[in-house]
Parts: sequence; structure tokens; C-alpha cells
Amino acid sequence: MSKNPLLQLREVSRSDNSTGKQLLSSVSLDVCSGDRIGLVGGSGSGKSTLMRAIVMLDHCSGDLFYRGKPISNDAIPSYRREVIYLSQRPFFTDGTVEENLRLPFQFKSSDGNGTGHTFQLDLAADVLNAFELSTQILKQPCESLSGGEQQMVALTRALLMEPQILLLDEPTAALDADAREKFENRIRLWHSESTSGHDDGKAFLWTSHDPTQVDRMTQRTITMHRGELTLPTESVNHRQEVHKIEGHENDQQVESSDD
Amino acid sequence: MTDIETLASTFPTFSHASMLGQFLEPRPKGNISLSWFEVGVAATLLLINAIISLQLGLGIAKRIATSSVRMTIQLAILGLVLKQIFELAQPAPVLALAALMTVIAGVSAVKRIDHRYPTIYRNSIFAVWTSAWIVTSITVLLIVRPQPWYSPQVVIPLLGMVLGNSLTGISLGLDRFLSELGNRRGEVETMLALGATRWESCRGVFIEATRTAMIPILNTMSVAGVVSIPGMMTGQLLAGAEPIEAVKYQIMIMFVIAAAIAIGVVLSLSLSYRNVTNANHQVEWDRIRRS
Repeated sequence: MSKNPLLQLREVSRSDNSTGKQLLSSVSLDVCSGDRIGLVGGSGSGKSTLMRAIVMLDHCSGDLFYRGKPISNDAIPSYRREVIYLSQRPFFTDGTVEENLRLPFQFKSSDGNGTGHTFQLDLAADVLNAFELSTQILKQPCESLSGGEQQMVALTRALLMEPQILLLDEPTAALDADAREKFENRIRLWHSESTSGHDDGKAFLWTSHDPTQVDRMTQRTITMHRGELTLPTESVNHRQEVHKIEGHENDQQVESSDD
Repeated sequence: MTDIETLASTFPTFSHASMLGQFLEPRPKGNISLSWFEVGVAATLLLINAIISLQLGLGIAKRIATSSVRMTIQLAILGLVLKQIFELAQPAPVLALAALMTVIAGVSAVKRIDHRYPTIYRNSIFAVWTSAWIVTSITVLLIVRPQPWYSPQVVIPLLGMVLGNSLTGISLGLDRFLSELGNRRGEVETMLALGATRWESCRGVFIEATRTAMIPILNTMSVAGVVSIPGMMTGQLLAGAEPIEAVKYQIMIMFVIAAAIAIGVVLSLSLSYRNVTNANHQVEWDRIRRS
């Protein structure tokens, strides 16, 4: 599979302002259309930090290109609608499931760029049904849901925004086997729907402590250790590439786990 | 003869010449000036508090003592400074004292806050200064119109009242804003991650902080005259003013104070919001520190 990278990170670093500790060290990474990437590493290795860096939630140094272009300040909210970060613990405002599903559609960025995303209740119901969740829960407060249901609602909210890339930060860590399977199936469905046929396939990054899940869900794995991508070939390929970002070569600086 | 006078006359050695005698003697009508001894009597009332605190082990006896002494010294200095400034009757000293009071108010507003960010003092002083001076200028120049305009008898007490209330509002607002931002970090970040701008993600916290800051003055306004007779009106009544005149002044000052709080709070919160977020639609959490 050779495609243009959707997302390119170049020498992205972040250090803790108070302790000076390096949280991310010169991370470079390409995410291509259709990619299913597993992100593994011990606790505190920087997996969440990397995902937060991708959606620019923290101040980092380095460069980030989406569809070959840097992201201007004003475009960041719209960019975050296309590259959606799902945190480990989903967050909801006080209010019903429906209100929470509507939330992203109230932001200014939802009608930016002429994409004209609006909230569609029937679509939301469809997505929930695919999780075997009854539409009854739309009227329930989010806090009354189980952990598994909450995670499904968070994913539903993200999917309704039609993301290009999903960053899934240990999404199933708190789920039981049944809920985990449903979640995995939903992601597979979303990914295959979009990837079949055209070049504009969706991609995801998935962090997990469960190696079998990573094997099941992803086609290549990158490993993090102390804020760095630990790969033997990384540094070699990477140096050459910094200078030819505009070329969009599909340099796999990271090796696939199943190659 | 009242009972007290009867009592006093039975102890001739205590009458007139002695301090107790002076204290007991009926005050001539219209004269409300206190002797230092009379102030001292009020101070003994606070002793009851101190004793209760010691008995119950509340641990605030020392603070009662220090804040009493502090208040006494501060007011005594203010009295002396005002005396000088009143006698000088020049604009420069009036404005200098006003500026000093403003800076102290700005610093005090931050002193009570648990969470801070690096430029918070500057912002607080700026917010207090702008709000209090705009509002006090309007009051002095357009409403009260003393001759001359810088009359310290008018400017200093008015500014003092505005500053005192404004600083409380700003302090409450900033405290709420910064602590709520931390408490609701998950909510704020989720909104950002779902495409909210920095303002959309912080708006809820901003509104809540503004509301919190405005509650005390709204409460004061709604109970004014029913539960409490406000300070300025009390002073005017004691000084012998007509009740209707005193009421007019009090109504005016309430509006002025509420306006100063509203301006000061919105200004200080806006500056704080800009200082803890950036153009990349990020909240810079590590700028907010617990003090």
C-alpha cells in the first residue's frame, strides 16, 4: 500500500515546563490513508502525549503537516474535527446522551469550510443501534450509563463528525470482553467502509497494553520509550526526509509489525 | 437625670475630670466625635471573641489579635495621611494617594487566590485601576461635582468604596475562574478536541466565574435597607444628614459599585483567559500554579 501521507510529524518535541523533563523527543511519524497503527509502550512512555501532540492540545516544538500543509491557528478547530482524539476516559457534560452528541455541532468550526456538518438524529440512532444500544438512551443522562456504554457514546460522537483519523487512547482498557468486542467491530466497520475503493481512506492510531488486541486491530506497530519512537531504522530514514517534506514520498520510517 | 448620671454623681471622684466620667457624660447634641478611650471600649468587645476562640481552641485568637492591630495601624496611618492631604488641598497628593490605594487593591485581590499564573498581578492591578478610575471619575466629575474637582473629602472615600468592592469581585472571579478551569479540565479539553475554539471551550467557566463575582453585590443590593443600613448611609446619618439625602447618595453609590465590579471582573477575567490560553486553541495548564 503506497499512499500520500495524511499526516506528517517532523521532529515534534515537548518538555515539561516546570521540571524540564523531555516528554516527547523529536518524534517523526507519517500516517497514511488507510493506516491502522498500533502504538505500544510502557506507562509514561509518551503514547498519550504523542496523541495530544498530534491534535495540538499541548504546546510542542516541531512541525506538523496535514494533507501536506501546515495548520494555521484559525484552522486548528476544524483540523481537530478531522483528526479526533478520544481520551482514555470519555468526558461528558451534565445532560442527556443526545445533548452530548449534539455538542460538537454547536461549535463554530462545525459550519466552517463549507462542509456543513449538522447533527442528524436518525444518523445518531443508526450509529447507536450498530452498538446494540437502544435509542432510548438518547434521553438518559450520560452519567447513568455504564463505562462501556459511555465509551460507545464517545465513539458515536466522534464518528458522527466523520473524522479522517481517529486517535484511540486505550479506548477499551476499562471495558469488559463483550463491550470491547463491540467497540473493535465498530472501528473495523468504520475503517473498512471508508477504505474500500477510494484513496481517501480513514486511518487510526490505537494505544493498548494488550498485545493481542494490537495484533488484531492494526497492521503495523510503533513502539515508544521515554518519549521516543524506538525503531532501529527510524533515525536513518528520518534525517534524510526532513528536507524533502514537500515531496510527499511515502517513507515508512516505522516498520510494520506484520510485514 | 438618667440612671447613669445618678450613678456617676454618687461617685464624685469619677465625675467630669476622670475618663470614666467623660465616658458616662451625655454627649452634646450633634457632636459625634469619639475619644480614644471610647474606641478602646469597642476594642474590649473583641476580647470576648478572643476568649471564645481560646476556650474552644479555634486557633484564631492570634489572627484576631494581629488583624485588629493591623487594622488599627492602617486606619491610623490613613487618618494621618488624609489629614495632611485635606490640609494641602492640591490635586497631586490626592491622585498619588488614589494611585497607591489602587495598586494595593490590585495586589490584595490576588493575595486571596489559590491558583495563579505569572502575569496575574499585572492583570489584576490593570483591571482594578481601569474599572475603579473610570467609574469614580464619572461619579466625581458628572454626579457629585465637588469644588474643586479633586476635593479629597469626596474623591478618596468614593474611590475607597469602589476599590474595596471591586477588589472583592475580582478576587472571587479570578479564584473561581482558575480553580474551575482546573476542575473542569476534562470538559474543556474534550471540547477542544471536538473542534471548539478556545473561547467556546472556556466560555462556561468564564460565565460561572463572572456570576460568582457578582453575587455579593447583588445580595447586598437586594437586602440593602431591609436587613442592613449600608455603610455610607450609616456614616451620613451619624453625621447628621437628612435621611432622604443619605438614601439618594447610597442608591447612587450602589449603582456605581455594581458597575465597577462588573467592569473589573469582566476585564480581569478576559485578561486571564487570554493569558492561560493561546492562539493555537490550547489551554496552557502549566501556567496555572497553586500558590
